[in-house]
Amino acid sequence: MIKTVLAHVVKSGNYKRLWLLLFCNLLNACGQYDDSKLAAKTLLYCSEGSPETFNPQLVTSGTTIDAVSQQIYNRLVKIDPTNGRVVSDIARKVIVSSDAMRYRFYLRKGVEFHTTNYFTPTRTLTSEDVLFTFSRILHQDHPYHDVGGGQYPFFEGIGLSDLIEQIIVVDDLTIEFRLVDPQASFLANMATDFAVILSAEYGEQLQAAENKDQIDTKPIGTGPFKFVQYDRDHHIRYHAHEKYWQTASELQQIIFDITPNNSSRLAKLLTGECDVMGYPTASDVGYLHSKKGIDIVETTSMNVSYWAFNTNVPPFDNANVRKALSYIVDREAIIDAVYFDLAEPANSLVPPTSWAYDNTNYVRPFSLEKAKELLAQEGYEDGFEMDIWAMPVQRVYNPNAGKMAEILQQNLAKINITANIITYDWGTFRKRLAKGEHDSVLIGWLADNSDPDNFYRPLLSCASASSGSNRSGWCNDEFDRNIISALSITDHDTRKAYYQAAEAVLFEHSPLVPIAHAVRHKVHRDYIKQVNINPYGGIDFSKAVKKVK
Amino acid sequence: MEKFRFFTSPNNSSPIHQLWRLFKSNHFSLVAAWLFLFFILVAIFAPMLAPYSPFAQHPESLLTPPAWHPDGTIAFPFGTDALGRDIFTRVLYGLGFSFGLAIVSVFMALTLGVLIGVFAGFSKGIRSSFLNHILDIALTMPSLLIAIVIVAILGPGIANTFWAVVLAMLPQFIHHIRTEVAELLNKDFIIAYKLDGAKPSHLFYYALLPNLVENIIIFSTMAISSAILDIAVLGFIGIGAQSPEPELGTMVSDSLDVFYLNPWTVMLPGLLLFLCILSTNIVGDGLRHALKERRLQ
Amino acid sequence: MFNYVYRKVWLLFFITFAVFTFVFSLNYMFPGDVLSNMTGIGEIPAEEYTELARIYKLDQNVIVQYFYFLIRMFDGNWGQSFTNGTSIFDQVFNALPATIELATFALIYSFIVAIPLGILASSETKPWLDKSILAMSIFGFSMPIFWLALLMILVFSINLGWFPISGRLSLVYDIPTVTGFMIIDILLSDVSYKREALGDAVNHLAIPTFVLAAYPTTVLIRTTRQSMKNVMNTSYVKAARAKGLSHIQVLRRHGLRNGLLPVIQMMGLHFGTLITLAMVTEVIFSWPGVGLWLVDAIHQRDYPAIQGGILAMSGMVFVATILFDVIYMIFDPLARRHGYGKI
Repeated sequence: MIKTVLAHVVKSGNYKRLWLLLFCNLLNACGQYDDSKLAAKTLLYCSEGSPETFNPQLVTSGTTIDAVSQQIYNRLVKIDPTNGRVVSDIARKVIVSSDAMRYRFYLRKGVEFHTTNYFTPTRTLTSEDVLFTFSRILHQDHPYHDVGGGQYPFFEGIGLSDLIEQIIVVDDLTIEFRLVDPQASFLANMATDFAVILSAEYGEQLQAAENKDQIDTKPIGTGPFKFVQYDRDHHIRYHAHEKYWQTASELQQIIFDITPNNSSRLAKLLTGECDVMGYPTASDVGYLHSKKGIDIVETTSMNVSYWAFNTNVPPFDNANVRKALSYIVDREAIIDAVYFDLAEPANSLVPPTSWAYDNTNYVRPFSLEKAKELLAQEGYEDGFEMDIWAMPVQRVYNPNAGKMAEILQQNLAKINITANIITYDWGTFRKRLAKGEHDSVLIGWLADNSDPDNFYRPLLSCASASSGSNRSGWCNDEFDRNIISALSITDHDTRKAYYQAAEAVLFEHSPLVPIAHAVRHKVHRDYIKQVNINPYGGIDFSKAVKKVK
Repeated sequence: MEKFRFFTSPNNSSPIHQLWRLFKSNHFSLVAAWLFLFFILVAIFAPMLAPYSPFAQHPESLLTPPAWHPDGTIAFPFGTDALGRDIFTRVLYGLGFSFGLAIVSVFMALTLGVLIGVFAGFSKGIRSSFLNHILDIALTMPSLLIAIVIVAILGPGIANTFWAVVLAMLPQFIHHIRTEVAELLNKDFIIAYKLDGAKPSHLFYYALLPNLVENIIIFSTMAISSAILDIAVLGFIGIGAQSPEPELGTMVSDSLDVFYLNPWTVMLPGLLLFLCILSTNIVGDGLRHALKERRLQ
Repeated sequence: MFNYVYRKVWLLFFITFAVFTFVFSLNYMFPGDVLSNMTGIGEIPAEEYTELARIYKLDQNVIVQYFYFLIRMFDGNWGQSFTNGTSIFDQVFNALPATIELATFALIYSFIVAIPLGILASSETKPWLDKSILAMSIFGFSMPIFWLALLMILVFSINLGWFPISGRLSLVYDIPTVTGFMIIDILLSDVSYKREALGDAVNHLAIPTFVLAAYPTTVLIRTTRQSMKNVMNTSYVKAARAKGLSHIQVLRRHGLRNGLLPVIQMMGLHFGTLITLAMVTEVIFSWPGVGLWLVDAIHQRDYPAIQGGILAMSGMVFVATILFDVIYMIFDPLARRHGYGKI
């Protein structure tokens, strides 16, 4: 058979035509690629990593929040991205008592849960579901408390269990939270991407089937999209939730194409394999400006990247060593090489966009001499060997931790310190980090809400030192006193004074060195409209439209 | 042969000399040979030729385009990479790693291969048959796959890459030399040597080795090209030389992040790699061709 | 004939034994605990250790261990992955079809391109054609595959936007896995977007196939050229010419039939290289085959997975080599006579 074909080809001498024929066929298929029906109703998002779970209560990682929070779930209240105010979500209104200790939420009627091949709801959302959701976090004896590890880092970080005295179901659609102390940031915290509402009915069903773990792996929520399929490290598939209580999405499905490699994500955006690209680096943004068919929007983002020292291991238990090392951070070089100028050097933990920011400088300038001097004082003139853990993924706050680590490594070498750059895949990295196996780590933080408390407590409080999101394992009474005091007051100016005092303590002890605040960009093909990036959290596709010409 | 040739003097030059004469008659091969030699010299003298240290970062000039580009500067002839390291310097050192290391590893494999191959060539019976089978299996496995397995065992790094490449090439060398030796041992002049009472060591030095040399040279040239490729591929998939080592394959994969923005950071190391392999292949081809022609004469 | 089959079976047996022995020894060669390497359980709790060691016969001598290792392997129990705890056997056999599909297409492509070019180059009437085809082949042969892949991506995907660059099929289409071979699966599937998906799958194949085919194509061009030259100089071809057959007739009836035999043999010899190159191609194009999977395993130091990957890759190489050998034998009766157990 092949021989005859070949002989024919040889006879007619038509290799070129054959080749052209093949080529054209391929190109024809190319043409179909864009205007085909299913493709036109599918939004492809290139995300940077796999979510650890499908329940945002259990994590603080941005990857999971992006993939899960806004797509599957709703919250009681949410933050209006345009002005940072708390507005209604599935609670149609909130009444706060005059002493700011009782919060009564009135829920919307007829909010439908997802119907999937693994769960069919029989009722709409009620106060039961809200109670179920928060009891899981608060009560140690709740049947679901220990499912998924029993750790609720965000809520532990803000001390929710000590804050809430009682949750009272008033009626089917009314629920009241009673607090122990008045707290200014309570509503802001309830509006974060972590405070999602689960289905109590689904929980009961799984409990009866003795398959409780499924609640976090095959999620049910009330959000605009429902879970269909998850292939770890490969993709997540969501279909539109037809009975969504707001306008249902025009899209038929959204797909998260998990692409950890930054340049692959860029390439996929360029070839149209992705409609929206997660976490473009500054250099990508500059390049994409020259490309047709791509929309780029700068979005506000409250974030910080920092270098944290593990204060539990020598020599980093010595504040002077930490101070010395904070002198070797060359912010200018880093912003040049890592952020390609799309970031500003940090001079405190909170970014300038926060109201708690003050122009005071709380960081040490780049100076090798001072670093040497301090190290000599502590008897380390011959240096030592240390590890710098560089996170393996791109985040808004740090597009390339590996490169940042190489810059630090160079400068450390100049003060006789040998630094080894360590990295694992993201899952292992976080696990080992939480165990405190590191010497120092390059990581960062993206705020979950507009309250400055969200920077201080999750990153540096004693409570977070035990729950693991405090990468320095640092615990200081004076610092804690300041940030706790700031919480009980609603007046911004008084709170700001407390936070400034906390910054001063931070500067004195240097458990971490703030490096930069990055600008976040939203990048997508021009036929995609209305993708929102919440400045305090994840990406939101609920209103997205795809209009292929 | 028997005819009296009036105008041509009998050719009395040595076989190697004849080979060279035939080889250089092909201009392509000759150019490739010069290029090959040039690369060797660069690989050796890279530290003296390079204007900077391969690890030195120039934060004030990141991603500078090459000098021929309007925005380029002569201070960085091939431009700089994302960390402001001079690509020219890194490419020079990279030649040492990719090209130099390939040659060294071929020498290593050659030495071991000659020792084991000659021994195997002399052996007979079950021992030979067993060796045959093992070699056949090892030969079916492509050298790159063997190298990957070895690196997987030893862990990544340039030193491990070296050993992996040596060990991966070894079966080919042994097989090749063994076959040659076995063939030579059946030749009359060897039997004559034996009858003269030559010891195996004498046999090896005076009879076998001179007849093996040509073949070994040609075979080694081809091996160098595959060794360069193996080292680079290992570096590229991230299990060979590790960043910031200036190995060409590693450099390519290192710069992938800025590939679309600054293609030269990937293209220049790749181009050099291509030239190395190309010149080696053309030289090998030319040598093989010349040998064939000389045997025809 | 019987002798031939007997030798091949014996060889297959010997190879299987050698490969399994090697993989078994990897348990000891890899860093870390032997039992962990065998089971794929990263940190074995102390109280389960003795029990597990008993099950895996670690308390007995190596021969017994090896025997039980073989039983487990043939049972499909290849241990579990360190990183995600899933069965390695399943993972390998899920990834294998993707690699085979890619390699097959590349092979078919290279046959289609290389054989006409090889025949053209062998023609002695047009030396310039011969020279240029040879030059092209040596260029192709020297091109580092990852560099070629990046060049292709830059030109055809990024600048022209013609072809996608990752995976086998756009995630838009949800095709149920039946055979694991994408094209076949799409044809078998019962979805409304069949044509759309098929076009997309072909598009995804285009660049990886071309890149992977570069090496076998150059090898094939050279082999075809050489063997056609040899065949066209034989006396039987000269006799056919003298009989008055036209050039095409000579080529069809005598030239190709004999000239293409060494090509088949050559392909068998180079199949292993093709598979390793497929590995690199898979890494660049995120092709979910066994090569990409193995490289990931090496990065993660997932030793049980590395073992499984090596077993699968080498198994594939050996099976293919023997397969090509058998095909060669079917086409060439002369080869059957000296059917030594050689691969």
